[in-house]
Amino acid sequence: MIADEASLSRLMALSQKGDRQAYSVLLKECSRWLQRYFSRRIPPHQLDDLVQETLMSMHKKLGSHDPSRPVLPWLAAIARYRWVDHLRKIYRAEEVALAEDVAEAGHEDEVTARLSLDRLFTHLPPAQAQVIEMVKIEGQSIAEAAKHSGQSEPLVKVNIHRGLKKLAALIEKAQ
Amino acid sequence: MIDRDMNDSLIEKLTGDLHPVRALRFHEGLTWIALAACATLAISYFWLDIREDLASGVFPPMFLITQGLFLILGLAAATTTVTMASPQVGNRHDGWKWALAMASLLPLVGAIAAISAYYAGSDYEEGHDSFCFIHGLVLGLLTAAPLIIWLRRGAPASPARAGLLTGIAAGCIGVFAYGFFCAYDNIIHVGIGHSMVIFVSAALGRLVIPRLIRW
Repeated sequence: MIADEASLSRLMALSQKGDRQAYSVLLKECSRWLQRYFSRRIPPHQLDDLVQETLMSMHKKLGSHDPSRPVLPWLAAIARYRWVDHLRKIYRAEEVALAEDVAEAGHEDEVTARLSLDRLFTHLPPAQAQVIEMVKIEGQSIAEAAKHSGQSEPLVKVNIHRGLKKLAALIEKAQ
Repeated sequence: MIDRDMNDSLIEKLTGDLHPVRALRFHEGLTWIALAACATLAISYFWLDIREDLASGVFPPMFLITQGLFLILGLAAATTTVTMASPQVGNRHDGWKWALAMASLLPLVGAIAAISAYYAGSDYEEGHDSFCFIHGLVLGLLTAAPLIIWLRRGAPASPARAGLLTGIAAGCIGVFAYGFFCAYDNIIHVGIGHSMVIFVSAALGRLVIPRLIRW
C-alpha cells in the first residue's frame, strides 16, 4: 500500500526539516511508487538503476519541492526527467520482455494515471512513439525497428532523436 | 523485481546524509528578482546620467510604451524561471510567450521604420547603438546571477528553456534599467538596438546556462 498525498506531504515537510525517521519512510514510499511508475516503461533489468538514480536525484533536489504544493506531481516530474535522460543514454540494449506481472497494473488511480509516462507518449506523433518504444524500451536494433515499423533506418534515427527532444520538453506539461 | 538489499542500503545511506534544507518558495524567488531589478536601477543611477526630460518630470509616451513592454516581458520571463526551479507535472510555462509576442512588435516596427527611412533617404543616427547594447547586457548580469543561483538550487526539468528564459529576463531588465539613461526615443534605435540586447542575452542564456543548471 503506497501512502496517500496527505501523508507524503507531511513526510516531506518533516524531511525538509531534517527528520531522518520521516525521511526513511518517505524514501521507502517513493521507492515503491517509482517501481510501479517505471515498471511498464523500462526493461526489468534496468529498473533498479533507474529507481535508485531517481531517489538520488530526489535526495539532491529535496529543497526544490515547494511545501505548498503536492508531492506526487513533483516526484513524477523528477522521475520523468530521469527517465528521458535514461532513454537518451541507451542506444542499443538486448531484446527484453517487459514485466507482465506488474502489481496493480491497470488499477492506477486517477492521479497516478495523469502523471504516468504513457501520457508523455500520447503527445508524440505515432511514428516517433513507435520507434522509441521499439528501440529504447524493447531493446530492438535500428534495423529491426525499421523492418517492423516500415520506416527506413535513417528515418527511425531521426524519429528517435526528434521524439526524445519532444519528450524532454513535455516533462511537466503532459498530463 | 527490485533488489531489496541494494535499495535498502541506498535508503539508509541517503537517510544518514540528510540535512535540513530550505525549500524553494515562489515568493522568495520573486523577492530575489525584485531585489535584482532594484539593484540594477540603483547601480545605473550612480553610474550613468539620467535623461534630462525624465529628470525634469516629463515622460514621453514612446519611452513609457517601450519601457513598459520590456518590463512586462522581463517580469514574465523571470517569474516563469522562478517557477521552473520547482518541477511539477501539470506546470505550464506559456504566459511569457504572449509577453514576447507583444514585445516583438518593437523590433518589427523598428525594422519597418528602418526600411522606410532607407527608401525615403532619411538619415538615422547610428553611433549610439553599441553603447546601449553593452550597458544593457552588462546590467542584465545582475538579474541573471540570482536566477542562475535559484535554478541551481532547484531542479528545472527543461534546462534549455530555463536558460533561454533567464537570458530573456536578464536582457529585458538590463535594457529597462538602461532605458532611463538613453536619450533616444527613435523607434529604429529602441526597436532594433534595445531589442538586440534581449536577443543576444537570450541566445547566450540558451547556450551557456543549461550547462550550469543541469542535474
